[in-house]
Amino acid sequence: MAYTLKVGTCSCENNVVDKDGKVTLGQDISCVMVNTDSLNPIFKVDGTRSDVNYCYCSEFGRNYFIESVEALAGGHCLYHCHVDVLYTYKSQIKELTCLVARNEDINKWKRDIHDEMIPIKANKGCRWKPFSGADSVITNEVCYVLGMI
Amino acid sequence: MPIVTDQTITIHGVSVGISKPIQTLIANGDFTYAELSKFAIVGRHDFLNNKAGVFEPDTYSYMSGTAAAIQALEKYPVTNNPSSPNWDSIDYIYNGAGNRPFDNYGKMVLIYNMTSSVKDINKNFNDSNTACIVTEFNPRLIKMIGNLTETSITATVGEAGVYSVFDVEGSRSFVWMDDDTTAPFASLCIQNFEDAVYFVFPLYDGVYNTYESIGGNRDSMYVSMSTQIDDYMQTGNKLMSVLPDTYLDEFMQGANYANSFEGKNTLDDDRGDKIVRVEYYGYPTYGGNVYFKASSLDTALKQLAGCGFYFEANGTVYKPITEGGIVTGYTADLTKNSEWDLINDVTGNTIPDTPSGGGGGSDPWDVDPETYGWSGGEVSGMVKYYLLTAGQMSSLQSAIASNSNWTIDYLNCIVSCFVVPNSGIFFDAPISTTVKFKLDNATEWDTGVACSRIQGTKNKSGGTIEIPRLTNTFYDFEPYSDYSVYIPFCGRVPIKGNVCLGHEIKVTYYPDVPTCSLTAVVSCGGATIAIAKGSFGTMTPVTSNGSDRKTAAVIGDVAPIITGIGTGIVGVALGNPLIVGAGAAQALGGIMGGVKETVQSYAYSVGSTGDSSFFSAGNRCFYYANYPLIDEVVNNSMFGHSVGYLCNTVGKLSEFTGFTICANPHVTFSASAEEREEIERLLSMGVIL
Repeated sequence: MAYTLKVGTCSCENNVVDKDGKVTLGQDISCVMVNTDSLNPIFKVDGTRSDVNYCYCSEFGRNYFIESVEALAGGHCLYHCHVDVLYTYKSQIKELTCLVARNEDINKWKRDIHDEMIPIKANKGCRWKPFSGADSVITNEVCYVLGMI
Repeated sequence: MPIVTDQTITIHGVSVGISKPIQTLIANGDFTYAELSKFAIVGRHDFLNNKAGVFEPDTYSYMSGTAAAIQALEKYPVTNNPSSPNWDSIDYIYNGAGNRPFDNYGKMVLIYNMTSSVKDINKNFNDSNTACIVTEFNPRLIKMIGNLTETSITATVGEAGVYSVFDVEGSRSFVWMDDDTTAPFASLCIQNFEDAVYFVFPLYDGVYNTYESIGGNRDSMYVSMSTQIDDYMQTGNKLMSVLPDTYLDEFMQGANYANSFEGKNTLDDDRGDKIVRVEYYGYPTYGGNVYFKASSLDTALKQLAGCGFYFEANGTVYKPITEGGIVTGYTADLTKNSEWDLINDVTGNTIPDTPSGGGGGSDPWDVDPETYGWSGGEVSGMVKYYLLTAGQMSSLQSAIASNSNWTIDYLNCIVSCFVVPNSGIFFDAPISTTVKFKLDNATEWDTGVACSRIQGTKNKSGGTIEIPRLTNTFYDFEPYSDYSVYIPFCGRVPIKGNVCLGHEIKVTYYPDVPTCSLTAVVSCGGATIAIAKGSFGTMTPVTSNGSDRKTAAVIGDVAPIITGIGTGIVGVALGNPLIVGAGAAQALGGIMGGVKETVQSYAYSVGSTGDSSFFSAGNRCFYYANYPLIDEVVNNSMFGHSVGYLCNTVGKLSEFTGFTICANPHVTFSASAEEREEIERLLSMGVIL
């Protein structure tokens, strides 16, 4: 069975969920799937393009990382792919309600919760400061208190 | 403090409240002058005719009496003459008609709107005013209700806000006028005034005005000015505690007198004086060296103050919370602990009698465990305590040395002698007397040496400080950081960060007379977080050696001992032998041998944690913090992108951006099992949203 691929490049980290603007795909090309695993398909395409790392298969409706390109005789190549579950399901993932343990936004940092990931230095800081607003500053001017019968 | 929204406040226990003379409040340690300055306790009205009900500025007429009094006073101007009349005598200035207009003191309640006033420095009252520099509190006087006889009154305050209520009986005030518009008040000085709370506000008549424009009617001018006390929107007010020897221009710094009423004195034309009104709260007296370039004095009534009332608003009764003698707030929980509950001279409200605090009752040793120190009078009927300056002590030495009838037994009268700092700041010693030695009912020797009899103690504030967050992370708390407070006389006391971080802490000294020891309480938000004990006095041993050594030789022996006391030799009280005359050492058996048992038992009294002598104490409280230093990389954006910040927040992933790690995520949408597992794995490891 022939499959339709859009092949191109992805210029962001693999773990980015929404890769819009980071994925550039070319025109549809026809190919043949040489295995049966839709999550880890191997597509045989005409011609050799080794500068690609990403593709989209419309039949499976999934985005794939092209993990490796195997050159074949006759000018064909095999694309060994792995499904990009994050981009494929980006809308559903964004709708997930989760307990977010860590986040990049420093404003979301709950600073008073213990966190071993916060590095501290071996030395300690020391600070001292005088009180203000005392009734009197203690001086060396003396008086005497006599207790007398 | 409660927020009043229905514009009506009912104040309970008004006419029978706990008004006390300001002097008593301070002597009892209820307030310090500095603390009072936070409360804008101001009252300034003369209820000439025992006017009852709500004070209406437009209808009162006492100023006629005031103006007359001013005219009368101008016949007796305040000068550099030490014999100038003091404030008290102003009460007796007649208005020319033989009446004494200031005899009728009205009991008055002042209601202040405290909204937005706490720590509101440089608050602009309105656009037309320059910034008004104010102290921490900038309450606005909303209502003054005087000559109260009811047990409760209801006042319509006319605006929503957070209210505090004080009662005042009369007031004292005066008006300054200064014709130096370039450096106003530079020539005015309050010197030798008792430190008191001053409330300064320039008088603004809305429209620049001159004396002539009001027809030269001085009475009209003063009436007009007096309305300004209610016209808070126009005046910039300054409230502060002014210490003796404060020059007025220094004191007036920041007062908004730019739009002050300008008036002229009837006795001296064309002065173009700026007029401000200065209220002072207390009984300032001056012993001379007070001068005004141009001055007049206004009504002078004794000013008394209470420290808060129960009041009712929005259908709820509020109880004042007092801590350290200061009203720090109000609570609707009438069972909430408050020093208010320790006051036992209140009638007219529902507070039951409670033992007075501070051990001031008939048995001074029956001290409420929640209070500290001893603020009562004599320890017992036998021992009295006297405060002597260094000079007076030397005079005592001279008197003893020159008394031919002196015997060693006189020293038996002295049961203790402590050296204390700061002219005895912890003592209430208002009664002037002389040192008397009394051997028996028939034998008393009045040395004639002046001293002051101690009536009690004054609780003192060691100051306040806000404990900052230093890392703004969990590292601020124990066990990562530790905090302590150094308290003079007591030493260094640890405090808990989790209690006081981000809050202000305060140190209050509660002194004790018989032992010259004290308890220092570190409090935070009204709660005690640490207690330390120390000694602010250093025992100076006083020795005697039996009653049979009534010889001149003993006098010679004793005199050097007294010399040692009188000169305040550092280190003497730390146990080094006092100077003794030749031969006396053997006769007296050495200092310790000759010391009475009762003295010897506490001759080396020291603080439990700190300084053994005030000579080695620091002069102020310090706060110390030791805290971890966080690596700066935490603030780098790459840290967030690579590691992320702990947020532990539940929410939709669409609400988050950037690097995100989820804890045990669960994929619930339709995907193959393998895909769901991978999504969950990736979310656990971290994805970028």
